[in-house]
Amino acid sequence: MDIKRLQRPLSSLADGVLNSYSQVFFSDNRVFAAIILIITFQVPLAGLAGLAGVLISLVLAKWLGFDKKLISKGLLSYNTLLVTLPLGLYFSSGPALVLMVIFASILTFFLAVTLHGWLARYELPFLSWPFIISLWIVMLAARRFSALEVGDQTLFEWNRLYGMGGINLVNSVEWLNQLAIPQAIKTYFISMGAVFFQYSLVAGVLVAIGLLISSRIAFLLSLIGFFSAYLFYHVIGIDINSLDYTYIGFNYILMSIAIGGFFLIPSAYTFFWAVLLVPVVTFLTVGMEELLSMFHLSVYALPFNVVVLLFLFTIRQRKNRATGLHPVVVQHNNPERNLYAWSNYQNRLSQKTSLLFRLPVMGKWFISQGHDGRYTHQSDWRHAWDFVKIGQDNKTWQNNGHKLDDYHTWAKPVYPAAGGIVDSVTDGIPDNPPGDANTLNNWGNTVVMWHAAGLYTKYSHLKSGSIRFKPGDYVSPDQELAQIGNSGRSPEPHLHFQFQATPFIHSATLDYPFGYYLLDEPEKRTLRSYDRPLEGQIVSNLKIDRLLSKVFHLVPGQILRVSYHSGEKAREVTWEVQTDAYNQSSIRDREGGATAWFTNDGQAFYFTHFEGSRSNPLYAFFTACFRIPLTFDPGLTIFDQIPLFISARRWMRWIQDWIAPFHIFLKTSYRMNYESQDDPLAPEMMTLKTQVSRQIADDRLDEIACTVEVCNDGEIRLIYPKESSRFEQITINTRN
Amino acid sequence: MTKKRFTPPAIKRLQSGMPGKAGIPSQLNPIPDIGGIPVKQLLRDYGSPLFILEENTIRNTYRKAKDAFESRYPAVQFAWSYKTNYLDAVCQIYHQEGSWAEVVSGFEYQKALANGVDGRQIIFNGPDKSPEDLKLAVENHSYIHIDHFDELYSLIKVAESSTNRPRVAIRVNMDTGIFPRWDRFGFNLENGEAMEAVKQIIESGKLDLMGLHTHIGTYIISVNAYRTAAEKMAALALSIERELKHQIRYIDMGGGFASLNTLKGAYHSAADTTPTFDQYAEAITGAITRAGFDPSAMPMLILETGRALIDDAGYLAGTVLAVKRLSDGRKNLVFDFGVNLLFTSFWYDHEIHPVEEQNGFTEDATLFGPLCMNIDQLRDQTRMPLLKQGDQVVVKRVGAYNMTQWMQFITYRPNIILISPEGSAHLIRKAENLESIRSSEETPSHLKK
Repeated sequence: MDIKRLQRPLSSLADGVLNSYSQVFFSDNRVFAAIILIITFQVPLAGLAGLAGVLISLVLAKWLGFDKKLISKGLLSYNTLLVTLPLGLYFSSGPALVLMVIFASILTFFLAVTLHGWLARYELPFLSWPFIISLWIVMLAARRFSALEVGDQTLFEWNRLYGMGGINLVNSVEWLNQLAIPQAIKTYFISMGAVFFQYSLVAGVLVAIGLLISSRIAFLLSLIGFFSAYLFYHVIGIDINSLDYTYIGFNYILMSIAIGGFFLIPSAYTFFWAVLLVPVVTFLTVGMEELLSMFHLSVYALPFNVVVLLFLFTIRQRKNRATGLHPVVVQHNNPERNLYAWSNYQNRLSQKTSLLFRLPVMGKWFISQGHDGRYTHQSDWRHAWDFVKIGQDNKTWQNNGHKLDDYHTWAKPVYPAAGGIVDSVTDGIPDNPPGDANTLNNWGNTVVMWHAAGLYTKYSHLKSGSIRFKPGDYVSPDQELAQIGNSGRSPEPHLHFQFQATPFIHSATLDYPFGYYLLDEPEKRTLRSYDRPLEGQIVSNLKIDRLLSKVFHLVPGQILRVSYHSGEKAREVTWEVQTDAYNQSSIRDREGGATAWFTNDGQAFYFTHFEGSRSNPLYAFFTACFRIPLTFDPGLTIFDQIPLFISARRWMRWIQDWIAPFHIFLKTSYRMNYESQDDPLAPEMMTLKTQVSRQIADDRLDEIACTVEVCNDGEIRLIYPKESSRFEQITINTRN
Repeated sequence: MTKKRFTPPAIKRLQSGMPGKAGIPSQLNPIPDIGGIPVKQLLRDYGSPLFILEENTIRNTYRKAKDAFESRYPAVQFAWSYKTNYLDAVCQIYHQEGSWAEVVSGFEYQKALANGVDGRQIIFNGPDKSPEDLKLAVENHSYIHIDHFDELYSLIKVAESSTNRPRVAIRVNMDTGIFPRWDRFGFNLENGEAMEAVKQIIESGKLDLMGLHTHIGTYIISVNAYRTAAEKMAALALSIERELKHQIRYIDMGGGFASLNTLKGAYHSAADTTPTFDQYAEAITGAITRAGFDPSAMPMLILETGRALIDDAGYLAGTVLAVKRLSDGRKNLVFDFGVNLLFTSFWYDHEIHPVEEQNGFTEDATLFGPLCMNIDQLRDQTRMPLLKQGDQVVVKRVGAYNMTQWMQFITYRPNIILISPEGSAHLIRKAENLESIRSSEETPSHLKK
């Protein structure tokens, strides 16, 4: 049998097993998972039972045909681990325990699937609810299972240790226990271990180290959660030692991580809430303990589960989301990654719209009134723009301005902001002489166009008789729609443009951005994306360059042949362009195990994410062409930022991680200039210069400059100055 | 209190009732200053006569024209017509504004290179290109617009000995419904000569056919002629793309836009007949955008308009030399500038304005220049204020052609100054003197004293 065919399911099974361990702490870190796996074998029977439970769930999930992602992420199996692990701890081995483990696993699995299906509808996690419910049921039922014997593995601790490692192990554990560590810290570690039913200092220390390796923010939150609780117990007058022997301190730790950094983007606000919710967890802990003690049941993780679920549900019900609490949308299973990815997304793409609108005019235009304008863009009509042309002297007219012809704006053509269908046309209203305004027909000659459900554009004050289309016509953005006039409430020729959600001429405006436009400022020109021009700005549309559009038009299935020099060796690899069910395109280096996700919206090519090694040439391509607007404009500089979790040095990021929720001082900035074109009319090659610099505050740590040569024959060459990079040159051939 | 101005007495017929078919005679407003500087001061500092160019007007007019096209077409390129005014300072203003150079001789080509224009941004037009000129243009990757078959063959010869492939276009002439038809330049469209030239270029395998060029005439006041021309050019480009599988990268519509100077013999004044840049642009871009090109691969539109861009920015200031009467009693004004400097007065009725405020009375007059030649007549008959010897005048709209077509005849050519946007005068061409004229002369030794 082909070994390779066996490898894939096995490696996804291994992923599923490991993730089931780390998932308890919301992590997918393998080192962390391995540490936990090892400490569960402190009591071999428990470790075995736990592993068996995980395997049973995974096999069941696979057999029943569940989603691969759910399986490999361990999402359907971590609850089972928490149920079968204590079974191996409390009961002695035998056929009865085997049966218990199997059927407790099945029960927990069903509960996990059911709760997942139910809560996912509300965008809520099912946390460890399946574990709590299942373990209660199993514990209650087990009382009558007379074939099941209570084990002695946890009763005679020293015997067990002696059996495992002789007198040395006993001595070193005893030494550790006798160390003059403050009680609070000891209790913290014991609570950490207690998450996996390991009530020893060693286990707790190991879990804490694992957590630290997996996430600095989560580790910090574990401290904050626990010690806030410690403090609160003191203040409210609960016996602090109860934390020590009831082992439920982990509720504070998990709640703090969940609220402070996992389900929300970590920030000062989430840290504040993590502390604020400690007393609530306490109420539940103490109160439920009273209640459940009647049934001789432990609260386990119930307080954490209740509080996190309540809080997340509350957060989702908010109408105004601007209070610094941002639910995580794309879960990276790591608070740092979530934070860095989110802040990068906020900077780059948060305004991204599915429909790209261009300015409804060609050439450079002046915004004489923007949103919330002084004159008429108010109340329901505040999200509109007025476009005019101005001359060298900043005036809208020449000569004396007594005739409409004197105005630069008069009779200039209007184009649809995007392709769409003409919804309604108002024409035949005469153009006012300059200075006059027709308040009876406020909007004058107007076209309303339909683009998508609930998304219309409106063009007003058009020149009488200049509208070229009728309702029902499809107009593409390169077709002249009409000419700017002076009809309606318009004292001088201008174009009133707005987005609206309804098709009427009097509809209220809709706050919607333009896709891309160039902004001319006295000393520089910048590219704005998904933004709204402001009053007084000079704006124009991006002119699409044929060569760049052609070369960066990467089609799924396309093979890129890449050759590069690394040291003395010349190498050749192939990359493949692929796309997934969500239409996310990526370039994949199958052998090197690297993938770079990109978008090409017709106006710009840009990368969104990278996974793999930073020494892979695909990473060099990812950074060198991080954002390439498909134009040629030597006066334009493009700025962007590459996500920290992809680009920063690991040890520096470790330092940054500690304070990342409050301040991010590391930065990887990307800068790009259009250097030259070998020919203005029939270019064979365009040269771009990009610089990627890693910075602390604003001090540059290092910088990699790259000359990107894009050729008409489909070749992209990345050329690095000598010894500045791992590579001297990377040649990517897109057509072959 | 300043002394009142003396005005010679004049008899004027009283007009009342409805104005005649020519309307109310226009008043000639005085032009006391140009670009913020008093004309009096300029004439004192730089002598009379004096050509004055206003940089602000040049830039404003250029941007207005560019705006008109760029608000309608995605790829527009202007190329400054050197022959219209090839003073280095003037060319540099256009190049700063982003204009290429359009030249029609080896001399103009050299001038463009000397002005620092990239060879790839020079268009070489005209029927006169020597093999040396062609070689130079090929070396610099300039666009050579082929005018006739003989030129095509010499260019193929040049191409054989050159490492660069010549980048060419053909000049096309056609019927655009106007008269005269400029069929002396280029290849005719209707009789198939143009397509034949295109085929020979492509079949030669030695030249890169980049574009198509036409120039339908000069001072064209009908935008329909441009619409027709643009339609025909686009159709030709598309048929080349379809039949010969060759992509045309640009369509050069030449120049010929009218300025606001009124032609001699025109019934209406130019202010009423000259189309605006928007109207020209609408006709040309409308025809090309609707022709059926792939919207993502529209050919670049090149414009070589000269006159309409610079005419308004130029002034000629001068002085009244004498006031006389002809034998029939008509008033006769003699200025210190004539057809030697104002070459365009052969076809325009130039407006000549007084510098100082006048009393409002005008009389019919004939305007002469200073040359001792009978042809030196600026206006046969026009109404002028009652000027006297030493009064200063300003001729409007002389930016185009005069500073290139002028002649050194009988007397020297004067200073030319440019008024910069912040309002200071810069001498951009020095007046000639005896030495500058004699320096290029040689006297055989037997004739020397």
